[in-house]
Amino acid sequence: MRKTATLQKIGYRKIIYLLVLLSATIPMLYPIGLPVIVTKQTQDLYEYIEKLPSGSNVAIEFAAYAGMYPDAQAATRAGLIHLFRRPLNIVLWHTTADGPMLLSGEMKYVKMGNRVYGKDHVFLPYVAGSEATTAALGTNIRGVFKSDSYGTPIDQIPLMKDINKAEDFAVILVMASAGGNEEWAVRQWMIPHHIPVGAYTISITYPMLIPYWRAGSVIGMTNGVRGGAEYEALIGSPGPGLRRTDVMSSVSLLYVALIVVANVEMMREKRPKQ
Amino acid sequence: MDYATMLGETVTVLFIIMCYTYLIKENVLFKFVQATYVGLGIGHGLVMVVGYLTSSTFPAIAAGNISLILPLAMGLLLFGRLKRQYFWVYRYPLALLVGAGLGLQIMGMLKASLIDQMISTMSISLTPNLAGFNSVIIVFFVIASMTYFLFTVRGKEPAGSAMNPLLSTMMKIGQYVLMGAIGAGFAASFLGRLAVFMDVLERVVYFIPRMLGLM
Amino acid sequence: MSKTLKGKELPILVMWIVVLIVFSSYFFGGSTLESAFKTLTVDWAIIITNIAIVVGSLALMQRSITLARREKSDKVDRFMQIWTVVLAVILFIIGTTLGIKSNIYSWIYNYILLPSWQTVYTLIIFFMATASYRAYRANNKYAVVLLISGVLVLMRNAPVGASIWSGFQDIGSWVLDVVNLSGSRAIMIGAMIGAISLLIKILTGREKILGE
Repeated sequence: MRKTATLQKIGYRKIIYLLVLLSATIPMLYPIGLPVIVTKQTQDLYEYIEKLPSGSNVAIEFAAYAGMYPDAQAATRAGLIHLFRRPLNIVLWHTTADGPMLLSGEMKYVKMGNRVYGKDHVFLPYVAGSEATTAALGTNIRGVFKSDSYGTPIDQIPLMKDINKAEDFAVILVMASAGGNEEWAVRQWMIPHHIPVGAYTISITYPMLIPYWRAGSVIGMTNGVRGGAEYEALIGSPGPGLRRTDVMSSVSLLYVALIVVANVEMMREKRPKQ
Repeated sequence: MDYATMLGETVTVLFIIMCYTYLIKENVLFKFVQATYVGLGIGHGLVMVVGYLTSSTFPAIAAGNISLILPLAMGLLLFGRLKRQYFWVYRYPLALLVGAGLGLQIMGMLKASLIDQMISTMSISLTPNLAGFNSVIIVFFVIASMTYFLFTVRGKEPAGSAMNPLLSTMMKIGQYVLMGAIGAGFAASFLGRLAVFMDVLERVVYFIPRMLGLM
Repeated sequence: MSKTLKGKELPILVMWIVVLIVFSSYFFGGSTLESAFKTLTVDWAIIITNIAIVVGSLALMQRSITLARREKSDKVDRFMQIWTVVLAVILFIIGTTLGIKSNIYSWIYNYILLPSWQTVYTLIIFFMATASYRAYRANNKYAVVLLISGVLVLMRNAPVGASIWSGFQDIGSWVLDVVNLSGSRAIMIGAMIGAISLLIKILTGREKILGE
């Protein structure tokens, strides 16, 4: 009687909250390291970048939104490591206010090697993101940005000498967007300028991009933390993605168990009493 | 670890715990965290936008591009939003933004969301394998889902349900397909939040090892 | 004259001009139209969007001050509204004078703003867990389909799914690549038709989008 009264006092809600905390904390302290199967969408994105010819110009729209960033963090970091490892010219700009701060956190993990700023990579500053901004960048980058993140006028940057519009790039990659930016890139870069779009995206956006991937508008995309873990496995650089898959597994199992228990209870309640 | 980082990590963990007290009951600690992040978020947004205007727009005007004064003046009309008697001036720049946004969106959607999607749907592969089977199923499911959208009238019996059994069957199948898509969306939404939760929890769980220099 | 300026007809005319420029440049091309399109998007829309963010932020602060001045409000709530405005102003001053790369700005952003924001965002995980137990019940056939597809996609994304049964990966992928694809496509095409009808309604003044 006492036990039931205590449980009723605590309430099922608190018990479930505690279960969620435990199911997330235990694998953090005692990881198992389950293997990750790489999906076709992530494989396509990786292979596309791997096969880009040396010296190709790559545009990166860094659209990180602080609230959802951890979901795309693993894939973004792995993507940046991969891109900077290859002999590609990178032009990166920010379309969210949080982008510059979050990117500086990720660049600590990227090995620059022999790269020289201004010659093979440029960081442009922040501009408020919208479909009009994406369209504008596709037609005239200098109209949007007058200087880079460090205040150097664009015309004085060697890499930007021959780059001013979408056609000057081999691909545009949208990183860490919380939704919308990938579709803007498809509509304003792929459709009018025929520049393929790749996405390092969050789980919420992933299902919505599948039709674009099937239609060939998007060359490949990653799927949140899971996609990040896959990409880390592909580039051989373990990071937050592979570290968090165990927690993902245990909390997902808890949710499925709760759904199953709830439905079994419901069926038992519906069974006619004998 | 330097003192700024130690202090920062401690403040972070305190804020996270204060925020999670909401799970017990709404309280002043949670309200404080909420007010803090809203205030800092507004400040940060303002800093970034003013930074863009001062690094791109104003230097361009100073360099002789006087035509930029027009959009700047148009943008200043937006401040009419803040005072009821001047609300009408706010409509002009808003009309420009809405027109540009909708125009660009529909222009791109016509090909990306309509033509390309229809071409991709109709690309049936009649091979005797899973890919062939899937391509036929996709056509059927898309048509069924579209049927549900086009023939359902709010508040009334679905059009044709009493008269045309084929139509009503297609609509039912379309509903199931849409439920399946929504289920996939629910799973995706859950996983997205879970990822953020893992990051937040790691800061708390690994706090002491970090402080002791073990991580 | 002032009635005309204050009415909704002129703003709708502005919208018409903008939409015509955008559509004409796409469908007809030509250097004049392309130049007009570039001016519209590169110069006008971006600058106005940036100023809109400033106005939005100020409107939020204005609302906070209004709520703080209301005598009926709780003292704690009034303090929180003022605290919001004070923090916004402080961070703005720090950001514009010292720059976003300064140590203090980075510290505030990385150790206070970012974790607070993300933590509030994650509260929903707990509510989804209780909803999984209380609300996600298969009361009818549609709910069954929704739950099964949700569970299959969850198990496909979680690495443990493949460890329990390899079929989860294949079936989950099938749900995503066929069922979700079909539903999303239908929604996309429907949204496309909806966007066109919305545009027509806005351009004919039937939609109250200009704050009437």
